[in-house]
Amino acid sequence: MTCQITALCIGCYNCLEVCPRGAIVEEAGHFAIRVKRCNECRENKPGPRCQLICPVEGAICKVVKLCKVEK
Amino acid sequence: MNTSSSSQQRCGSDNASAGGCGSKTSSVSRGGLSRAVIDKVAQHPCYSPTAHHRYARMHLAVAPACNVQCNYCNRKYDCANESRPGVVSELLTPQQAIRKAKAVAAAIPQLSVIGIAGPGDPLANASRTFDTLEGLRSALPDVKLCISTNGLALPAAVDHLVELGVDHVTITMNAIDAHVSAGIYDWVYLDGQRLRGREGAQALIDRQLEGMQKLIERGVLVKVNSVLIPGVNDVHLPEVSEVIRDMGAFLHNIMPLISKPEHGTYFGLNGQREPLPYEVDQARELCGGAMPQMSHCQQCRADAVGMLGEDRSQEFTLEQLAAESEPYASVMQRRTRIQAALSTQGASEDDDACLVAVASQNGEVIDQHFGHAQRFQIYAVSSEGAVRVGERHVPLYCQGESDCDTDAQLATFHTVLDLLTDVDAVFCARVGMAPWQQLEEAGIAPVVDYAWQPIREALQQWWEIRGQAGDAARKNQGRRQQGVA
Repeated sequence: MTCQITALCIGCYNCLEVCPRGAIVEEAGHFAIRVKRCNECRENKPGPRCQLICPVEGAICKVVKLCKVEK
Repeated sequence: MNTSSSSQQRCGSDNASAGGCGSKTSSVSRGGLSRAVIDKVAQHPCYSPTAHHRYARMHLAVAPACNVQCNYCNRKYDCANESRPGVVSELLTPQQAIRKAKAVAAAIPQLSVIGIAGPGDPLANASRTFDTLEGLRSALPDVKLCISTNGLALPAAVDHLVELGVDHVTITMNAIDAHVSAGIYDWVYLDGQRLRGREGAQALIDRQLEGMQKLIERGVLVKVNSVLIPGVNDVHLPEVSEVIRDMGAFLHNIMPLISKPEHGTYFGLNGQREPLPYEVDQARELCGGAMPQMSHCQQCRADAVGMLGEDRSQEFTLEQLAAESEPYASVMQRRTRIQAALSTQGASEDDDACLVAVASQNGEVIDQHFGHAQRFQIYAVSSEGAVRVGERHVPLYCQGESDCDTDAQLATFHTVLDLLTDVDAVFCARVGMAPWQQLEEAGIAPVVDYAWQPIREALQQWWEIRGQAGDAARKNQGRRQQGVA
């Protein structure tokens, strides 16, 4: 359960301000989410806060884990 | 190339006029403003119609994040495109911002105001903004601080702003009615939710009004910026003007929408046109009945530096800042001298002229105890009369009766003394025995004879008596010397 910042990110810092778990890291204007800290704001009904305040649609996505399906 | 005007739009609308909008013409009506208010704005190039001749402003770009999505703003082309990290990376940390502020204050003695105006919303970056304001307040006691905000996070921030002596706040209010507002904002982010449409618009309006009311109750001057958007809020703005007048705002600044397709804003891409110049004039005229209008806003960038209409930010990039700057105490004294000379046409340099500090809560009469003052008004007293030069914020050293004469208190007292070394006298309503003696030892005359009297008249009278006494002393001295000879 985590969110991910995509290449659409414009570096606006919005997500950094609202993440309650300190999961967002910034380095020289590039942003990323620390997988182990992010819980997709499970407790927040409307959804992950970073995604809600992000001004660019698609810059922050929930990561879907793909599983191998036994044939 | 296309980005700068979009940036200007962002700044001008959401942020800029904190320290940035200039006055080209005397377009602020001064009717109804008290002396104290006129004094308060006299050194703010953005609030006063005359200040731009003598004073400079600077914006510190420490606040990148924003909690509102305005349809006239494209976050991708961030304010001034230099301010966007990863592009030119001149977003400043609070520490860098304070270093830069000191360097600019030393290089431009006319710098009177430092504002935080983005590139996002200052209060959506609360820790960065408040760290910066706190640092500035103690490092540069003689500058005014202000912010410009969309107001969404304002109610909770008011107490902190007042504590830090921020006495000018600009709120961007484009509408007072959620129906109109819903066409201007895409969404607002509040308490973990993205609120759209009328719900979001109403939440924003409620907080803007609540914040404004709190600020005004605490004596902070509030200016309102409105972006004029033809067909959206043009006929609605007079209503905004009336509401903010009733609430006690002090100035209304109607700015034209900047909206080109290449800016990539929602309005730009959807063919929302900009207002024609006559439409802007018309809107200002319609609102002018309710509120004093400001018609000279420059819609400055969030990192503008210098006098109005100029931007010297490129002279003060982080790279160019000297590692070790001069101690600020001497910078401050030099700044005060220059500002005094500018505002007295040089009379403050005369032999009989001097600087004095005044403890006044309301800015009109000498009404404060020395130990209760958190700021002193600095006046130049000369043949030009008593002219207010600026103010200095000092730490509060008297915390009540109980903890008098503690070491910590003494240390604070010495900080206060250090901030007043270049004044000849301190005027206050009362002063305790111990500080009285220490002031005298430091060569500063404590004066309580004019308690509760109007500042200007009192200083003038004091100066005249002092001059006569000085003349008499000189004459006596002359006679004695002649006698000896």
